[in-house]
Amino acid sequence: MNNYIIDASRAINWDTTLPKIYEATFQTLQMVFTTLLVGGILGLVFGIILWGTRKGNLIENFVVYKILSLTIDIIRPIPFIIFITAIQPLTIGIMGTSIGTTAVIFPMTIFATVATARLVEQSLIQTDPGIIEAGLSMGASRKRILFQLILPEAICPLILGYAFLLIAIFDMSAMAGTVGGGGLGNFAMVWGYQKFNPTLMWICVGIILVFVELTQIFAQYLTKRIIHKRS
Amino acid sequence: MTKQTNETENIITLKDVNKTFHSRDKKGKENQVLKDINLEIKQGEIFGIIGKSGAGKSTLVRLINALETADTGEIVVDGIRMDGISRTDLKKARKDIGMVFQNFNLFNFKTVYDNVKYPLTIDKESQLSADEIDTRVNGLLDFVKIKSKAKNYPLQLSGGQKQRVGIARALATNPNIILADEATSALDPETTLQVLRLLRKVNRDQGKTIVLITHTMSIVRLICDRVAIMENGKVHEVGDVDEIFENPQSDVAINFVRTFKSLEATSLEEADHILKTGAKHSKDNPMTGMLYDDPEEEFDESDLL
Ligand SMILES: Nc1ncnc2c1ncn2[C@@H]1O[C@H](COP(=O)(O)OP(=O)(O)O)[C@@H](O)[C@H]1O
Ligand SMILES: [Mg+2]
Repeated sequence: MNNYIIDASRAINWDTTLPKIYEATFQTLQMVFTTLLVGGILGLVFGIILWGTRKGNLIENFVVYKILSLTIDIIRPIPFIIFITAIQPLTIGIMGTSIGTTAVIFPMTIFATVATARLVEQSLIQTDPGIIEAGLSMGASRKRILFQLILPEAICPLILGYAFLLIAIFDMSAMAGTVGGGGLGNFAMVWGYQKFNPTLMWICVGIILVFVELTQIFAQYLTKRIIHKRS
Repeated sequence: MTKQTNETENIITLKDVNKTFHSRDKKGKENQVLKDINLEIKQGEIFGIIGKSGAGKSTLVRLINALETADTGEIVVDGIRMDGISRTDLKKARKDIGMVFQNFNLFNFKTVYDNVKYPLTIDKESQLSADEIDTRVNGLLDFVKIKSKAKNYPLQLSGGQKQRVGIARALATNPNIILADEATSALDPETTLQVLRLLRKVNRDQGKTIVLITHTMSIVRLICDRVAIMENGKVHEVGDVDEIFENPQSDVAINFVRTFKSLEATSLEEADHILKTGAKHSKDNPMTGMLYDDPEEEFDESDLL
């Protein structure tokens, strides 16, 4: 009780705090967008391979499918905070260090890749196999069928999937912050939890919320427009 | 290569074709779907393939454009061996075989115009300019009478309109052959007639050979020149439609013809009588209705299909 009164009456020095919030925001965006870019693209590739190697599909391959699928199933259920610690040796090997914003991007990217691969696979499975059939029957190559017919057909679930991914990455970035990754998550923990300054903590929460909401609104707007145009 | 186009030339030949599906699951069940298939389809005809669901019709027709590969046998289409064909040759060969589907398989994210245009845009060898492609697409949209919907998307069309787009798209690369797998099965009777009329126009005006798969004998009667009757992966009878209707030889053919006739019956009792005897009984006979057996006994679900 006593502590609370002391802390609550402690004035925030905005001149020194604001730059810290800016820096934390920048670190978060850096983590999130690097992860989104690298993990999003790698995940797209693996997702396409997963979908394509399924039974009866364009590049059916039981062994490749099983290996990929199993790898994903092993990584996905590990809690992210534990995963970061578990692959620290690998992170040091590849990123040169295991602490800081850049280092934490490595486990984040792996997690994002794995999540995206499944998201993409699920989106592509929803497309009508009749499209492949039609494409093949008119002499289209498998590459054309994928890029010109299947991916455009799956655009709405893909957009929503990537929006979901982006939000999940914000989530991961907050956890990454607690192990030296910096960013808003770290800032909120340090100021809000350890130093008990609710104002600063809520500012961080607010900033993250704004990003998440913007992503969500944008994705919904896009898919609604596409669906409206086609039907 | 000199090619004559007289009426009797075979454009599609299947010789001793066999196909078995191996399912990977559980007991590794084997399912021989096509058994010693021999077929000759002539240039310029409408050739029907009729059979109940699961008879192997789709598998058979998919061998013609190599969407499926045969285990044994020879498949020659327009002078080209389709079995063991290379990937590049296959892409070329497929431009000569248009395909129309039961569920249309249109590209929902493309406009009607772009659906019909797509086969032309992937044809690297065609020397068509953008203007020529535009003229061709518009000509096809005119031909199937769907020009007013050119800018619409497939989801905005009725079933009949979708199938007309499907037919225009199948005609885009000006193929010699059209494969139609249950092209009217998803349509109501009136729309079915519309689509059949259009297919006949494709055959008559453009001289295209049409292989038409159906499970309904009335469609065979309406539009086909010749027909192959399939059951359990075998072709039981092939011949002129008129002859088969007049004098079916195999049990399978007899059954199909009787089913066709039974649909003209005015009561289920009469229909059943036709199925059993092949003859319409006199409606004046008041006893037949009473003598009629319980229909549940012989009720076969596949009759509903
Ligand atoms: N890709 C496939 N894998 C395994 N079995 C199949 C496959 N395609 C078709 N079949 C089986 O082959 C049989 C014939 O199918 P199909 O040619 O589609 O018949 P139809 O078109 O006359 O209804 C069916 O028993 C079906 O289950
Ligand atoms: Mg079929």
